[in-house]
Amino acid sequence: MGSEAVNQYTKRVRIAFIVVALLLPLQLYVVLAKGNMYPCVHLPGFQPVLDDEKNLYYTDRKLFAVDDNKERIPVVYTELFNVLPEFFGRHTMNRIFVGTEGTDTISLDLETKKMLYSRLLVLTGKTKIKALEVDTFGYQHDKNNPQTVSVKLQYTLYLNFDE
Amino acid sequence: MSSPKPTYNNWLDCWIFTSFPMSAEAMGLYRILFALYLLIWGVPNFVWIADSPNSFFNPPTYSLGALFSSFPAYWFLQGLSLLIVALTMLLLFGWFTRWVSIGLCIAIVIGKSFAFSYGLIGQDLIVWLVPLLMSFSNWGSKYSIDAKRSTNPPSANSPWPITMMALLLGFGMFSAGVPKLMGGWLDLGTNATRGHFFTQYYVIGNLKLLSSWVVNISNPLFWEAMDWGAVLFELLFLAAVIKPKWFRAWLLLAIGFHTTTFLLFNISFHFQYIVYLLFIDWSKITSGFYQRFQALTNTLITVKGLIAAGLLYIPLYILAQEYTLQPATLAPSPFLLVTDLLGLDYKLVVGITALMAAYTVVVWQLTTKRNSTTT
Repeated sequence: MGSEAVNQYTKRVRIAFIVVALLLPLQLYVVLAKGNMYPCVHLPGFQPVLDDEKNLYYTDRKLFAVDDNKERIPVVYTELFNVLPEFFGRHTMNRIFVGTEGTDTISLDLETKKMLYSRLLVLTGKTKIKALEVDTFGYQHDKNNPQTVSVKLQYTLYLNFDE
Repeated sequence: MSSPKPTYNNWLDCWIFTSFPMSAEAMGLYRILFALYLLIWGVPNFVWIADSPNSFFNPPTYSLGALFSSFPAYWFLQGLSLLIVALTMLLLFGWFTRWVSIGLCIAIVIGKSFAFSYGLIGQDLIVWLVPLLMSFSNWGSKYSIDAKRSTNPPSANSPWPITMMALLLGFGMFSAGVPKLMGGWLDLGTNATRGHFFTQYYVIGNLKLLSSWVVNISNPLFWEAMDWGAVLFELLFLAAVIKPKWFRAWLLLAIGFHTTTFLLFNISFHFQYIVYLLFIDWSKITSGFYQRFQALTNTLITVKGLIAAGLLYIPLYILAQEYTLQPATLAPSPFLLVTDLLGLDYKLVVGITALMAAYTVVVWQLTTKRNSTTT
């Protein structure tokens, strides 16, 4: 390459860098537009799980605080993780995993229960919460008919604050 | 005919063209290491998508997947996966290197467009930009079939794609840090890292290495330090791009960061290391090494060698695709098939071997003096 060609090449590369640099605000806009920023904990709605026979299951959980009038107030899943992870984690998933359907009540030590309770009051704006419920749904992918997903199981966990 | 040595009159050009110098020999070596990295630690595979019900098809609004209404057919995904293996083999041997590099990036991005249509977008895009950008660097001019076939003297190599990769890496880290900053990670009343940790531990079931020990740490200072450390590390990554020394120091921090992530969360991020390798001080490789490597590649890098390697590797890859347990089916390889057959944990094997390789390079870089004759 002659020096003129080198200069032209340098100029084109420089322009490419400037264009890429200008893409940063756009990328940031796209990232921030997603909205789900607090506390930046990503929990996919469907969590694929593989069992011993290579069947794929997908689980989804919904959390509700139950008030005095037995109204179920949805609670954002991530908001309670720091307080009591096991309640929302393997406890329900394991039941789905072994194919159990039904309900269960769990008990907690007093200190943990207090922490959870005070957090729920803040999150719901209520003055009293009777219980916390977790509905776990297990979806099984039908290997013989890949177009369908059947709702396989529902397991609900209760944490009773009145006891 | 050698090109006249360009002179750069402004800071921007100087930064773009001289930050990360890399000889043609080093580029050829890196190309081979990049291809081997994929062939050993797993070439992206998309056949598993065909098993998914179309009710899960939910591509991002601005993506290639959004042009479709369902997942592609099995034959397309199988064809695409085998094409990617073939292109990786061609890259290893350096045949039509520029076009193969571009084709490899395009093929993987097409596959990833569907793989990321489940509502979760992976973080490995930066790896697949390496072949695309390095195609402009002339990384096929040494240790390649192209070099043997060419009757013209090789054209000069361009190091600017490496600076571009540094910029993109800085952008990626910065744009990962900004949502954390705005999302309250620095708020002393939250422990965001702990939240992520609990997800990994209790929901996904990553219970290995230090997880079971860390789950009992409730000291808020520990978790707050993790939150602050992660946010500052990611945000300042972009500033570190300005000076190569800062950037290399930050890459060292990054390896420490990934080590922590691996030990606590059992997430290896092993694919990042091959990108980081691009930024090492390549002048520390001696000319004697290159001479021996040239002699070795003279024997191995041939069309016959390519055909033999393809005939050996591709059937093994298909075997690995069929018989490797998930999640290794996302990127199978004969190496991972062997780890499966030995009953070893895929994630641990990949994570530990990749980390060991990364730390070996770090130690070598820190203990070896620069060789001025090979720059």
